[in-house]
Amino acid sequence: MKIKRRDFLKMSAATGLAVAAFKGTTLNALAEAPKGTIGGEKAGKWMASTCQGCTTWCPIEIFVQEGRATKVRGNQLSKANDGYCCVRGHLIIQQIYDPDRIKTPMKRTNPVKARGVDPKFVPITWDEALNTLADKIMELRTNNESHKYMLMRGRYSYNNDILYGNLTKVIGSPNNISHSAICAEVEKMGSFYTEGFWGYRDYDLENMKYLIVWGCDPLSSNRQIPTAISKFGNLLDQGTVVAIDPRMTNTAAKAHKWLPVKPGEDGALATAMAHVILTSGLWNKDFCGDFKDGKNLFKAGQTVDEAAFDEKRTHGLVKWWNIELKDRTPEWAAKITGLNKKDIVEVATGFAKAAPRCAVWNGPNMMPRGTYGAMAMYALNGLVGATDSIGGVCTGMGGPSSSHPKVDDFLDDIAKAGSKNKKIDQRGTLEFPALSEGKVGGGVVTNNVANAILAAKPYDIKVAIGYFCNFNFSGAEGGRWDKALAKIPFFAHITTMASEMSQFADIVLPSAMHHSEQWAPVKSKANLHGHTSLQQPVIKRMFEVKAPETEFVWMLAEKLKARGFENPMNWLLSYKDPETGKPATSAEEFALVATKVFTQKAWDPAMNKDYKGDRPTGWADFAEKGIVNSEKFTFGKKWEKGFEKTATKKFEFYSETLKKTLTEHAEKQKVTIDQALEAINYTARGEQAFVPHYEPVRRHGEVKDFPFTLVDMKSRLNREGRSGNLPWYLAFKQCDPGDVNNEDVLQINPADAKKLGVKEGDMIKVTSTVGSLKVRARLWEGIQPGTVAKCFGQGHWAYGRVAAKDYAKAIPRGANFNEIMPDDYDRLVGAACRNGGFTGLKIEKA
Amino acid sequence: MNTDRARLDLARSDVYRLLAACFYEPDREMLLEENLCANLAGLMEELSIPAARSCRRMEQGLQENSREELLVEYSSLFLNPFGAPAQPYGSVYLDKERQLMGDSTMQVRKIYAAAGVKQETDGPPDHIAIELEFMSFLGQRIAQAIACSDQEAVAEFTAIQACFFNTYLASWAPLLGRAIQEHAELPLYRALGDCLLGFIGAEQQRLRKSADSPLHEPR
Repeated sequence: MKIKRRDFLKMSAATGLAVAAFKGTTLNALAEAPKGTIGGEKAGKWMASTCQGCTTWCPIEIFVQEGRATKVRGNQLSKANDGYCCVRGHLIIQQIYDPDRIKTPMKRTNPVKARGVDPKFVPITWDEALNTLADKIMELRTNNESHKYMLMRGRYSYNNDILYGNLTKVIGSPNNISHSAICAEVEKMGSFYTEGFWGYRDYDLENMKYLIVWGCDPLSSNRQIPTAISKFGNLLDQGTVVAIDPRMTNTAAKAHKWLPVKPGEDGALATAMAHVILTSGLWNKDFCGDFKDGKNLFKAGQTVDEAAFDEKRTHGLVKWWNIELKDRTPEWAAKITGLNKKDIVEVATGFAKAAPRCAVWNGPNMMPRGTYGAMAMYALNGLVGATDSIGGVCTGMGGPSSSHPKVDDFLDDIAKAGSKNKKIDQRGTLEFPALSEGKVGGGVVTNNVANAILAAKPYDIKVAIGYFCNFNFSGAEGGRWDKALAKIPFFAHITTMASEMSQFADIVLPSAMHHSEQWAPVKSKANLHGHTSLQQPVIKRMFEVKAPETEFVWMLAEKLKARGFENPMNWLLSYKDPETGKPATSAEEFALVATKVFTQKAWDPAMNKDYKGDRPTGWADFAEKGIVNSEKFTFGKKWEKGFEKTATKKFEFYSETLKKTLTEHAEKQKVTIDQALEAINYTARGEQAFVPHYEPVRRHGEVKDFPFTLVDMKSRLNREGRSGNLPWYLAFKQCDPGDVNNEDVLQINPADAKKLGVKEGDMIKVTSTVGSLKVRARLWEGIQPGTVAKCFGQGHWAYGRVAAKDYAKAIPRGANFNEIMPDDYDRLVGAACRNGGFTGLKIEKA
Repeated sequence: MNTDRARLDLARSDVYRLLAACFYEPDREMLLEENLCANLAGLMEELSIPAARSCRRMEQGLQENSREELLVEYSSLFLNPFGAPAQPYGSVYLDKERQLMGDSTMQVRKIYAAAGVKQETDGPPDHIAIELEFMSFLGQRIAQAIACSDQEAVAEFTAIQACFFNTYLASWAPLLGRAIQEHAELPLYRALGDCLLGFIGAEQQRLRKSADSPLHEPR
């Protein structure tokens, strides 16, 4: 806030405003206006937008009165949530009106970049911020170092192609780094290397008879929470729900059965269930086929002649049995998982008998060696023919969209040369195969970027931008990010809140709130419908915030153009408003034009006339409704046409697709597949590498030294780690089973606590192989002896007055257990770990 | 008599305005050139408000510290995104949830409208600088009405001023003043905290008796 008029500082007498000659007023922030009345509340309006508090990406409506958001609900037209949002949506109000939001661009005045050292940010104009940034980018290009520019993306909209994808290319860098590999990439490995689907699945809960919720908690977090909540009651009445999780989740609390599996031993349970299903003759004959003579030859411990089986829509069932399943008896699994044989058999047979109206709804499985467990869990859906079946699991629908204009015509020689460099995250190496979607080096290795920067391998990063992300807080062993970011000579962070990551920024830039202050398109799915929905600036912006993916890019392009680099602006001008044919003339207009361009197929009557879902009559209609729903998913197409993305076009129990990709990786690295697997800590050798199988937990810390195993959990109040400064987050924390209001606790079984002499509410010191934290103990039967559970979300040492206990001293409120989770990976995909019992802990009274 | 009262109202209006100016990003040179602190001290003396000394300390502080030092302190106190210890928005003190744009903020905006002003800048209308400016505006209106012998307007603006002050500004400005006193490190801002407290305290004495009509029903 600046004083606009020097008059404002003058005495009345000096400005001739002496009483006798009084003529008017001297105002700065105010101006005279016709008198209004105090009156009551003015009428408000529900305005459509989209919540990205989790990956459901719920179409919502925000009630706006006089430019102020007051309430939130689901979009009444949404088929994904039937007009309801979950509790996260309601937290939006406190997020918008958080007094600690970044209100203006700021620059550091203290050159020392470290935790506990105040950057002493002072306000600057957008102009100054962008001039500085443009100079830094131009310097890289002048020195043929454009590849040393890096863009880090956290949460994003479908306008991310502009900032994350194409601006990076136009500048000339390969380094657009997504957060995806600290999110949930392992679970995608499960469905990809069995049925060729790289994505999150959808579920026909309405027609389901048996649901296994495995290592996730759909009533609380990720994903499609509102529909899971609304369908859950009927599902409990009409069928069976089983929760498999080391802790008592919301789902477990309501389920018919809870199997508290030992952390990370899911692969043992899944393979044993497959064993039971096969030995009981309960596999789906229509889907998998049958023995030629109709006699079940699957007997424990005995190999089966492949020729005896006539396989239908699957590939390698007998191979899977012979290589892995024949010895995976329920007795064997009971010892490993801590469950009893009877329960394993009961759930496996109950599940198979309900087939195909059943599903395994498996979670992220972000653990070392996690891929094969995820494949084993998902393979159960194939074994019983639940995939692509009514009442089962499916790939779901998409929402309609066009695409962003191509950038190829705007790449100069510097850009082309720079983009050819290796990416900073070391993907596609012996250490990080990163086999996303069947491609060697196909996926990001987000959490390794910190290591790569510190080692300057393959090179150093000189200019970085991050948006909608806070890797120091949300990645395991986040302290590495402190050092890595401190090493980058220039870092700009575009964010709504000054976070742990902003602590290391040279410039912080105030971001618009995605749900209420910017134009952007979002596509998602739930409840067997896909949707394309809008984020809109439904409220009046209070501060100088900008939409990172659009407005910021436009403003930066203006500055680059002023420095003789015109390609970015020329590329942005290639976006033409579909209604007028004209390009944008300002940053704000560009955000709108880009959103209209990307969604044109959804709303333009010339393009949507044959669409079978919703058909708005034009842009205005789409903006008013905020959503286009797809038609309902049609089951059975894969049964009919095959699985187009797998190598065999079948559901693969023996993954030729993975074999092909692993072979390509090994050849590239000039090693055998066994050597390749050994290098990334897998135990599988030979043919086992190509089938879903059991991999023992890779645990950091010997049990004798670190006797407890950590279970990471997510709060139903987490807006992906962005709720820590919201008073309601603390006030309602006990809505997470076992947690306590206004506290951050480690859940420990009372029997364990007694042995340690720990009482309810005691402070305890928790130590892993990489560090120690202090946290309050919560005695809770919902966690198994030998395991302890800690919710992610608190433990910020930055992020605002509520989130941090003492920012100046870097003392967090609560404890962020990412600090003591070791920096390890499921290296096949490159995913950072947080699940699956990989962290051993020692607990002492503090 | 009327002229005297008008003169005092105008002086008071000037105090509110010059105090408001202190809550903007510090433009050290401009503040020095315009003798802001000395003028403020003079006005306090004229109004017999025991805040003149703190105004003189502000003057010294302005001289002592560089523009950047002042800006760092200003940012740290009022803008600090890691948690500003002296939040400059009324609703953070008055509303239960301690958020921006609370119900009290909306009420403040309505009062501005009822008095015939609207906000021209971005941000919530209950920023301390804007509320002080509003009090200044009302003071000028009162002085003007006195000069024109418009008794109805005098009564109207006096009532609005008293109600706005008692219900809103005075309910939180002392908390802000104390937060500044506690967290400021530079003499300018420490003294600004003193000055705000001293002035608001004196105004509370003056306006206490006028607070006889509920705010939502100004005349």
